[in-house]
Amino acid sequence: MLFNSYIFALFAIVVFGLYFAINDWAWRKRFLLVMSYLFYGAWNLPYLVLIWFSTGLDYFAAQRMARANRKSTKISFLAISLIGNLGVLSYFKYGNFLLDSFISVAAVAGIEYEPMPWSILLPVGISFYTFQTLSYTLDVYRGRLKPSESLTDFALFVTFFPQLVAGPIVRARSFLPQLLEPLRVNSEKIGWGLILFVLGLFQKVVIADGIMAPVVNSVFAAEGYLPTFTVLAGMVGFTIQMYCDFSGYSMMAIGLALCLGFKLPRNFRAPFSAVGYQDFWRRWHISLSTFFRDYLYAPIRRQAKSRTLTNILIAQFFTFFVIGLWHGASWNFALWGVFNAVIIVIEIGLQRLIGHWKVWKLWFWKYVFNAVGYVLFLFSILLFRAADFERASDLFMSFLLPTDNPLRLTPVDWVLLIPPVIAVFFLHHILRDRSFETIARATPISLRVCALTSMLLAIILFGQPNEEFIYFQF
Amino acid sequence: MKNSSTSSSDLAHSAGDDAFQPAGSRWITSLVLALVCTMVALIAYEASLRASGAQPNFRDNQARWSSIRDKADRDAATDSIALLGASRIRAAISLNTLEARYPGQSVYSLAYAGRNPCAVLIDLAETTEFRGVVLMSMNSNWVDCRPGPFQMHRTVARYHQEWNWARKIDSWVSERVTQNLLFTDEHYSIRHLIATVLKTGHPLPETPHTITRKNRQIEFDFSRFNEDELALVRSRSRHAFNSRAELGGSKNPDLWEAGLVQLSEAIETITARGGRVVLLRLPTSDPLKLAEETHFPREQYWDELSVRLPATAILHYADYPALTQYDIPDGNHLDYRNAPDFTADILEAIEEAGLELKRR
Repeated sequence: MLFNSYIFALFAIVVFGLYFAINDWAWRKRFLLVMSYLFYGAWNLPYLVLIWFSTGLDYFAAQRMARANRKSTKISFLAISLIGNLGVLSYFKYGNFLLDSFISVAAVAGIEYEPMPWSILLPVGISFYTFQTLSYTLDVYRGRLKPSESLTDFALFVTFFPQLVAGPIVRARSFLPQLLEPLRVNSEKIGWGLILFVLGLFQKVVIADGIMAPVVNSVFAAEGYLPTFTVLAGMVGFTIQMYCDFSGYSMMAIGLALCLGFKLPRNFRAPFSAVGYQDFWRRWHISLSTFFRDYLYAPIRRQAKSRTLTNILIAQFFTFFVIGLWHGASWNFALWGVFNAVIIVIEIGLQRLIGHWKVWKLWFWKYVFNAVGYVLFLFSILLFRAADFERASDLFMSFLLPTDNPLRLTPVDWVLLIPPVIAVFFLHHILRDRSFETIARATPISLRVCALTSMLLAIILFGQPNEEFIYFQF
Repeated sequence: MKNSSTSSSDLAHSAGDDAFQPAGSRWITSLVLALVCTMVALIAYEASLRASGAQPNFRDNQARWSSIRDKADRDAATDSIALLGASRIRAAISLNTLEARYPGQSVYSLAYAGRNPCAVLIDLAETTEFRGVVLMSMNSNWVDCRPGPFQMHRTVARYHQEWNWARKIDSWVSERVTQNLLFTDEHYSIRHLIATVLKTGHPLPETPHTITRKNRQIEFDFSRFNEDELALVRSRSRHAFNSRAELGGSKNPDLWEAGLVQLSEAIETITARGGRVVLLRLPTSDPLKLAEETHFPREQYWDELSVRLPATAILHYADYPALTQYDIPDGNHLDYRNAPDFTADILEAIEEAGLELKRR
């Protein structure tokens, strides 16, 4: 069920109507749980079993870990949780990739292996809810969280429909406490929640799907080399499309949750205003990067016990390699992750070598580093978006080699493309060091109405409902 | 570099735990006022579109196709008539004419613009109990039925994997919205409005030259195309055909043979349970026709199809003088005004070939 679909509008009416009609908190939670299962079942009913499996396994493992006196018992239950969750994830998401990789390796060794075709449908949101439940068992294992006493509460944490299929990835320790006492919902929360939903929908329907997608699709689907400006427009367009698609989904999820009284973490913080590459990753898909920081990067560093450049390098490379594969089961994504790690390692090295120079204090460098970081991100997305290495390489070579390919953007494409690109960059620089709420609070009502009317009209008149979200495939 | 926030080498800071907070009051008031303004603007836009004579235009997509594909399951046991092919058959065959000619029989189009329909035929044979009549637009280059961008495998697979109660409800609502609100048509979207202003200087686009009806029939109004537009479309059709002919596998003897086996198995399955399959070669005009004949000479390809495939009837338009009389302005499609007569003529041709489409 997509947020930008008619069926979701009907679903939301039913959910909000009945949620507020129920007075008892325990029943409200049960109702939300049932509706969350319905929401997921609208994609693929049988795959609900996978969510139930994950929920049951981690609820049980956490309970047993908390009760265990011996460390070895705790480790055993943690291992059961990890193997169970990652096993399911690997089978459904990486099965084909692993099989293809095995065939390639076998071929290099001179062995011809032809397996049965692998046609498993990827369960929507499996990467998101798997990580969410894993964070719970890992926190219980480390003693940072007491296991949930209520299976309903835990199941709702795993399945909460606003963020179930594409995040933000919510930590148990920030969500489960919200379920303990009845949540107060007032007009301020509902009003702001609805505004966030409209803003998210505008980003998704108008900017990502209506404006950027046609340009991006035509550039990445074309064959051979293309004119430089056409490729550049496609690449810039894709960075904005990906941001608006995913940030839009996160904003809608946060808005919907707020209307129900729940608070979800921010997932983006003006990433295009980032100064440098590390800063970019602190602002882009925050719930994922903090997950990997806490559960992968930090443990690796702790194991190493020293802060040498080699240790940092190993931790960075491994973390970003996994982040790459999290985004997609192909070597393109793995290479994309490694590319990010290389840039960050170079950045850290430079900081250690020349970071103390006073010259960097000039304001001017902030913009230079911002531009350099964006250009590097721009080239990294060639690996992310192109169908294969060959296409990514063709697009890269388009900057160096002349072409007589007639594919040019139309005047309409340029007229539509340039203003939102400028607007996104401008807004991100404004929002770099201040919150969105501060600006919204200071906006007079007349301006709010004009802006909202324009957005609503654009959402309706761009007319591209039911386009799937890019991050659903992860 | 030191004045930047990149000084820490950690992957990310703890920003993940902060949440959006309500940003002051009166947002509901602002939203209600904005909704009122939006409604007023949309009503005015809708009124102006209706005044200009615009008609509902159904966007063709996976959901529309899937909703029709459902009929093949529901009406499998009845003597229904299913149209398979691409845009050519959707423009040439009038579903209203067919329905009038065979009252009580379910008639629907599973043709999809720009795609080879062989995967749909195989799907009807393998996953349904279909025992009606398939009218399938066929070209020699469509024998190659391997999955690819111009094939229907993905659409068929998505139907089986995704077409569930939720998508049915969504499609049902979407259909009613499209039917009743003209501004939801892509042709009147902001993108198209800007294109119109840049091209013509007029604020409102003309009504579209091509309309897709609710039953998925496409109506081309060629009286509204100018000669330059038609020349461009003709040249693009030929170019697309040439590229696909080179890329496709129908000219490869092994793939041709494999494709024929797949098609004949599907046809045999349908005919074995009482269904009938009619393969139709619909008319085209130059330069597309020339390209088709160059790549796939009739004697070498179509005539072999006639011999090798166990279809109930295989008709080539060139064998029926009535069917060669029609003008094909863009090289590929009939004008919507000609579709009813063409349909009547092709039905006569089918009957002439000894086949009756009526319920048996």
